[in-house]
Amino acid sequence: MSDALAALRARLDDLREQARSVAAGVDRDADLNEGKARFLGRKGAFGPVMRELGSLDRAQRPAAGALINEAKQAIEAVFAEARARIEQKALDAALEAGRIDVTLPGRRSAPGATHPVQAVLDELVDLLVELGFALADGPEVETEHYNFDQLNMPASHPARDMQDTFYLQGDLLLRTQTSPVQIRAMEDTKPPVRIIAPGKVFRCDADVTHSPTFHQIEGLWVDTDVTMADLKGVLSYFLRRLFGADRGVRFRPSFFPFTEPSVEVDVEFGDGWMEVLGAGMVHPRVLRNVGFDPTAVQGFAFGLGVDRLAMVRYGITDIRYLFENDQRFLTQFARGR
Amino acid sequence: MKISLNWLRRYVDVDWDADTIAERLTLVGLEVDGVHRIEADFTGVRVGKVQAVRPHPGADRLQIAQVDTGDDVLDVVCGAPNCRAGLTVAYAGLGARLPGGFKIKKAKIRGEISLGMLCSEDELGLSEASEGILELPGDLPAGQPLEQALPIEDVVFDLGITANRGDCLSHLGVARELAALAGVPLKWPEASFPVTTEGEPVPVTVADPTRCARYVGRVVRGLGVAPSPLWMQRLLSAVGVRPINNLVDVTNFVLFEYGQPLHAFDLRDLEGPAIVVRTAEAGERMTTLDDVERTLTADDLVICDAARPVALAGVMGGQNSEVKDDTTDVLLESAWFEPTTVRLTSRRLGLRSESSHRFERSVDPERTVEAANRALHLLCALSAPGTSPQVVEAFTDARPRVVARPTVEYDPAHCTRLLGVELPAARQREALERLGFAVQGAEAGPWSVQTPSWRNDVDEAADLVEEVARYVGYAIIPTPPPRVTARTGTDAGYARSRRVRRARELLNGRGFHQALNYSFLGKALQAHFAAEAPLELLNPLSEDQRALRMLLAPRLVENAAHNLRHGAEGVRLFEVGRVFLPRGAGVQPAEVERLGLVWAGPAADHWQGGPREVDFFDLKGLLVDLCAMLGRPAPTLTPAERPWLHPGATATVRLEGADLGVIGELHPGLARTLDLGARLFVAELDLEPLVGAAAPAPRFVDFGRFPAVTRDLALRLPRTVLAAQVLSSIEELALGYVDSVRVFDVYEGGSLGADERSLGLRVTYRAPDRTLTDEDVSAAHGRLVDHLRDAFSAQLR
Repeated sequence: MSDALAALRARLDDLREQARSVAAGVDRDADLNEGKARFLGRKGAFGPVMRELGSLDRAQRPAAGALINEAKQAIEAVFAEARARIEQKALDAALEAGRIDVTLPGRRSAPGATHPVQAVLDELVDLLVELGFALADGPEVETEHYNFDQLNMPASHPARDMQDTFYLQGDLLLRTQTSPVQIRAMEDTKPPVRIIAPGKVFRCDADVTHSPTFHQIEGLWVDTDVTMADLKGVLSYFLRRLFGADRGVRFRPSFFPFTEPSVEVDVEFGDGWMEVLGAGMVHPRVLRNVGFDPTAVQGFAFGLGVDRLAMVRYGITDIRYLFENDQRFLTQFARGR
Repeated sequence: MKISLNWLRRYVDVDWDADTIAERLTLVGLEVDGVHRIEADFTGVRVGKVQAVRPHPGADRLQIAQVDTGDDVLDVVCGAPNCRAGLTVAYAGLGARLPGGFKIKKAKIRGEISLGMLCSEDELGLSEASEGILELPGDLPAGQPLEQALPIEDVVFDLGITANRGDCLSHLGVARELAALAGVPLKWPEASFPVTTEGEPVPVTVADPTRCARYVGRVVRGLGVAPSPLWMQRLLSAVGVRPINNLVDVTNFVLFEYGQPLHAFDLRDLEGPAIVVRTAEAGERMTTLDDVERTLTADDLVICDAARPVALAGVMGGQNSEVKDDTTDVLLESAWFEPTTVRLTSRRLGLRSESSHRFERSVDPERTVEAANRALHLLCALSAPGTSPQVVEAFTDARPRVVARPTVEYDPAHCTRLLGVELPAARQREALERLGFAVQGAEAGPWSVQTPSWRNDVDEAADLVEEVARYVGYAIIPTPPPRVTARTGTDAGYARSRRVRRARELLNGRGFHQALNYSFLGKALQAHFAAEAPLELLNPLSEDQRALRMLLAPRLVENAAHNLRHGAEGVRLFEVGRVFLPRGAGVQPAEVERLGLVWAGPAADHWQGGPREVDFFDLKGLLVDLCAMLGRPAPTLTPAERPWLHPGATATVRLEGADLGVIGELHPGLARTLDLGARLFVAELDLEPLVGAAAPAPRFVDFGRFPAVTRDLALRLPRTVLAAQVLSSIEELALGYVDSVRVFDVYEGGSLGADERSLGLRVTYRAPDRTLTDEDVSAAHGRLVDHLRDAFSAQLR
């Protein structure tokens, strides 16, 4: 190797050494760029080197060029490495800065609750719709005609005493039961009639177990051939779906003016039985009242108090909580069902 | 009604235990709500004889009794007023144990030694309440353990008798059902008595045969008032009746035995003596046994002597003729009064008695005389020692009409058709006959079935089907799986209810709890919200439950106040329910289903950034989202006023051309009146426009793949120009390429005049088929700006 080449090499080695030291010393992007420009920039250290290339022998130029390129690449690599190091450091710093206390509370919109009575009502409706009952509806301000007379409870009937009634002017009252919807449905539709009517009912009575407003769901199925066996079949299935497949369901005779025979239905509960609904075969007088022929059509009706069911289901101890709308009460029912 | 097992066993021999009886009764339709056992829950209590009594030297109300306890005579301090020499008592000796584990020890009471205790019935756990110490029959020997001396053990059933089964409001009535079930005869009690042919019957005139179908009046003379025997006292106590004396107790006893209410008049007090049963005159007055003067109406039935009313028929006797301690001669009344009459009178006067309860449900019109005779038997047998009463043989059985007993045509096949189970005719016949029905007709039917006199609730074939079914037991009817048939057509009601549920659940998702309120409220509260008169209940439970609601808001506002008062940081409640809009007196109101909502407190609250109080735009945003979730377009809001809402922050809402309702901030004045202590935002919306019809299925519109260009502009506008006016004006301009316009900033104050504000709009331009050039956008935007400048005298900022 000629002296000239050797000198070049030494110089390049020196440059590489300098570059290495500069790169190692920078820790900011700007310094790095500036440092890199000192070597590789337009006015950088390679400028004079390149100019010297021209003064070399023609024969030495390829070798010298190779040396220079090699050195350039090495220096580029040094700075690339430094860039990677700086970027990594910046990232590390950013990550560190982004470290949070994941146990702090999140930004919530705490879910609201469906009212427990509504929750039970929804469930009952879904179940009965599944069983082929259609939803029907009637007014809450009813007439004596629909609430009592048509249901075989004439004015003199002692059963009217069973239901303390809120009266309005004229023959109007707040319905004491959802049963008038039966009458309206049968007046509107020829058999088969297969409806349920959930809704608010009213009795002038208030204490720990009675509320002047509560909720019932009424069911009616009238056709040419609907028997008491159907009543038992439908209600057993319904109640077992509601309370559990292995629950005992008991049917016993009772009295309602608008059904005959009448049934009270109990579900096994703890050591005993819990009364859950009243039912029966639609009374022939009720059928006649709506213009049906009781020798041609027959069927059953049932009615069930929803609030008490909700109280049992959720362990609510006082019916007054249901209508107080205290959020400390309601919020307990916000969990998914 | 309480039924004693010991009492029941007097009339029916069944070897079923108490639990079996309870179950059988329940399953035949006489529901047993409870079974209570009366047991001797004590030890060491003996029969004692009070030999002498002296006052306690240290206490006015106490005495010291000298008691023969069988093997000793001991001093016992006693506070009972009825403690006296000669009394036979229940003595609890030292070491005796009373109910509740109470042990008797030697005690010094106000300085006097007491060696035991004289017990009352309730201290022995034999009754719930009693006055004074237990008085035992004098013939019991001193020292005999009390549990041997007394018929203590019994079982009491609590029966829930349905309104149709008046015949079961008695021990014989229940025994009759039990006998029918067991297939054993019913044992009727003894009803004989000594008679005298001396004396005339008391004449009875029934002037109102509609309301009184039968009136039996029988005279007994020479009675002596005395305590009833212990067996009778025990049975009466078991069913919750306080024994008083033989005269009163016997009429009560027969009431609970036969279900026939009786009344005993002191014969001395009857003018005539004669009985007239007539309708009361309006305004007529009489004083009943409870010392209350009653004013009567022409709806009441009265029993009169020759001169004046002496009893309110079927409800309560009169004070002027009641039996007294020195009564010897009695006119005993046993009658059948029309149920509705008794019901109306007892309701109107608020006088519910064991008698009225039974007459209202009808008593057996064929056992009127027998029940009277039974009572006469007991009166004679239990009269005071040394007396020998006699019944005047001649008596009046005034029976102006016979209470109809319907005959029902019955086909056994009908039973099968209704019940869905094949029941052989013979079995049906057996059931009916066992229950007292008279069946006539061929073996296979059809039959003519006559109802027994004690059943007034059977007049249709369906009633007989129930009789058969309850006799054989409902369990015999099969329980097939439900028959489900595919519905033809849609269930519009259910579909709508699903949409309501979706609305509710959306609100739940936004933190709102569902409230349920009474449908009535006080007129004062209602008046804060609506000037129109609400429908009113004639018999509200209280004044704050008189008016039928015309808005959901008042109660919800009240709910908010309740929650804030109880420390809630915020309130988010909604309610779905009906309001009642009057349509004239006596006419059913329009019932409109509403969604009401109240919102107070923080709209957001986080440790980062802190709380942000709810404002109108939170509520409006919620409303718009709700509409969107239900598949409805955005609603239109127009400034409006309501007396109960903030005049500057209230809007009526329209949705698809229909009125949806109103939203706004509760009027600060009203908030102060109701002591709310927070700003409250309220919505009152009709549900129908939101959920009435199924929302149309979404229709896909291509969103355009070419890039959009946005331009912002800030308009300086008079404050009176509403944002909605600006936006709809842009829409009307129908400028090409305008994809959307959004308000991104509102600025007031600063360099702007007091009646000005600046509206920042972000306009997005887009073409469906190409990338817009700068020139395209600038041209469109220029036109937009020019338009706004002209239309609203807006200046570009």
